[in-house]
Amino acid sequence: MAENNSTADSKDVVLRSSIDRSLRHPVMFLFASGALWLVLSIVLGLVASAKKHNPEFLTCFSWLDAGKVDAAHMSAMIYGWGLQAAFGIIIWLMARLSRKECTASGIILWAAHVWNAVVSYGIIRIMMGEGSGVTYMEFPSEVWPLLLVCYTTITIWSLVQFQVRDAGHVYVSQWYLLAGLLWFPWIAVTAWVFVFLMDGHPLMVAGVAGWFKGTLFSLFFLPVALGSAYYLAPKVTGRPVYSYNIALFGFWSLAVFGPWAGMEKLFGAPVPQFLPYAGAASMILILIPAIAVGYNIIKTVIGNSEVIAESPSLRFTAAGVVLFLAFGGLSVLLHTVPALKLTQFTYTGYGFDILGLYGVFSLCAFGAIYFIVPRITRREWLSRRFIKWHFFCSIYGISSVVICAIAGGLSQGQGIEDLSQPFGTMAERASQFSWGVTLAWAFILFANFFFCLHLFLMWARLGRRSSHPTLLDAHHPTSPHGPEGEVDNYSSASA
Amino acid sequence: MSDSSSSSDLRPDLDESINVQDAHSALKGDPAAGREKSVRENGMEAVSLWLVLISAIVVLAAGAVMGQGGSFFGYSELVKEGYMRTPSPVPQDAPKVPIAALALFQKEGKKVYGTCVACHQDSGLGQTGQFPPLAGSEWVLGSTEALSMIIHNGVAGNIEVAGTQYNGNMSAFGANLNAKELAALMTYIRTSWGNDASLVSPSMAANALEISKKRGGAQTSAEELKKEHDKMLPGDILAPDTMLDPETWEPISTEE
Amino acid sequence: MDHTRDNPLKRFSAFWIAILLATSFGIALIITQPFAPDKTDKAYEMVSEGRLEIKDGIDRAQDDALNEAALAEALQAQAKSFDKNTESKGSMPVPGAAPTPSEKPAE
Repeated sequence: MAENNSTADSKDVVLRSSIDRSLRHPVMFLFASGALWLVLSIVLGLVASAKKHNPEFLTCFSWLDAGKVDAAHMSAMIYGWGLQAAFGIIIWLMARLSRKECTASGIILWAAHVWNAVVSYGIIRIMMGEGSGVTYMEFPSEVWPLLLVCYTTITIWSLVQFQVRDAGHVYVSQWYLLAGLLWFPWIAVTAWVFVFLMDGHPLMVAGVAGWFKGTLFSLFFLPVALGSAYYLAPKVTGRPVYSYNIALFGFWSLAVFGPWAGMEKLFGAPVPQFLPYAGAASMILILIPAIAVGYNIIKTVIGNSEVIAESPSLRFTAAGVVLFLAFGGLSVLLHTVPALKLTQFTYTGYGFDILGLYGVFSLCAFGAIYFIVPRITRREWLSRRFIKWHFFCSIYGISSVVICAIAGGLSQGQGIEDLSQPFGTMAERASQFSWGVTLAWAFILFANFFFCLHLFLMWARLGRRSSHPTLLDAHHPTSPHGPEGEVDNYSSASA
Repeated sequence: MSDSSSSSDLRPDLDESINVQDAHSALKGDPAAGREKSVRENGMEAVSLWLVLISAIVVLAAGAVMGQGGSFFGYSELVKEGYMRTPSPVPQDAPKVPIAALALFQKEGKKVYGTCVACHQDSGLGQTGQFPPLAGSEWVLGSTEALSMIIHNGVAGNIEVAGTQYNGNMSAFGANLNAKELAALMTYIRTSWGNDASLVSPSMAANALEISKKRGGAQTSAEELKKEHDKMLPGDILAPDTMLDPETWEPISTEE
Repeated sequence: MDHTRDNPLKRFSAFWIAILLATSFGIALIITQPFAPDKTDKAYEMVSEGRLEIKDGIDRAQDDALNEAALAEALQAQAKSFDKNTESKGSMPVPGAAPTPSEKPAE
């Protein structure tokens, strides 16, 4: 790690620290509550998956019926964990990159509390059986305006910060964050209006809902994850991003191809045929930004294997980027017409969605959280072991979920397509694979339980008071960071 | 920065000194921020030709998929030609395995019995007080003509079945059966649930339909059945182990 | 504050422009909604008119015929004698009904 990293002068350090101090409350709350929602959503996912091979599991609880728990699982994962983690990353990253302190921390913290309350209300309504039934928009329709208002309250300050940033060129991550921040209201308002407000043709409603499902990932979660990756890779390694031009290419290809995603869910429906085909084509084209971003970031960090081995944030981010490459490749395979026909009503869609949501977005988010939290709490992570368990169990779990779900879906699809067999054959094929998915979710639950615990300990300021970061590899006789020191409290500094 | 002026003793970790210099001097020592490396200008590597090539291939693949989707923004094209599969036709050349008469009639009769199962139950025991049983019923085991009249025309009024009186109303549930179905049904109920009576052949059932037509379509009653229809149907007698052609239900000639 | 990029006016305007951007699509929808072509299926609607008229007529007739007072009275009368009810022979034979007490053969 002996490159010519420019040690910042004290002004930079002071600015960084003051930015971190200014937004410590909202960001920490968003991450902590997000982590708790993640654990809850994984538990629900475990129950949902168990019901696929053991339909009698927990039928005594009517609020855990298969349809409700599926809806609650995805809603908790997206709105409870995904969006809150994304908010935390956006707020911190935009503040850092615009070099502006956050002046509205209180408002953001308040809005984050309201967000949590609204999501909880929505999940309870789902479990009472009053969900809307629209995929990824399961909350009852009156919840949406509240969510949109909270979103605006939380993120508008980041847009303001971008507008008043110091003159200078706009960094890659800022493109992605800005784009994501503006895309989300577009897709959310459109979806809300067309699905719940306007009295439209039901097929159009289904189409718009499918479009929201696709673009929520490709136009919000993906840009936030990529923005975080483009920041952390050069930050932790100290090297510049490999190629500005490739970054430009990757960003604009996502901007052009991303908005078409989502309608492939409606393959075979009596909607105008070009729509699902456009969606399928867009999902195939996602490989292009995947390759661009993957190549760029991997070239940035490669050669520096110690850093990937040691730094938790870089390890998670690199894993997320690699899984994004896998996502892109799989997307090409799964969205060719024969594959789509085969996997239309099967498990495969679920596995693919989880790969995107957990494999790509969540792993990059974990990387960002492992980087951000020590800075805003001024403590270092407590346990190397927790981080390792989190990493390996997550990787193992997500690979298993994806492989079992996608293979299971293909097998299920073959069962469906075999018109001479009764429906039960197809269900049996699926249930074998769903055992694997359940087991994998159990691993992921284990991983994230410890992550949540770790994060809450850090939130309670029980982290290590050390000037050295918690690295995953403890075998340094002499640390590259100099002698280890204790972190001062302010009281002792103002002597 | 939001400053709170509470005493530092109460919240040692969260105190913020109003003295900016002190605060800054404390922040100077913030190790995490201090050891961070700056994010520098990006490298200016050109977009590699390999990347363009791979992208071109991916665009071709996507274009191929798009091309199958009909004309772009063609809102009037809803269903793609040939998207739906027709199920493969049942192979016509399946070998016809001869099957014993009893087995064939039981199989086919059970299918027809689906209409009757709601009242007379799968077990043939009916419902005490409401629907008479068929198992051990003298009307089932006895004369086939009476049974065929009951099935084809229904029966109403007082009737004693297996020692119990029933006063009900059975509609002509079997009014639409053809001879083969009627024969199969009668054979099924006469040979199931411990019943062990003779088979009813399709020719017997055909005769039953004739008799029923001559009679008109009114519901029968127990008295009428006892008085006028207490006889076996004329027709070919069928032994339980005769091998039949599964499609035509004709006995297979044993010379083959 | 001095006229740098970061001044309260810039922040204020950025705030409201961002709100405008976020709601722009909603506003565009509201503006264009009246101009959307009315794609209702005229033939289906014309046919439904007749059907709906008949349905309305039936509904009205049934509402008029519903004598709520008499209904309530009848229910009250039933409720009072509920515990004293015994089976009675109706006018239509029930398929396969058990014989009523008067018809059971003497044991």
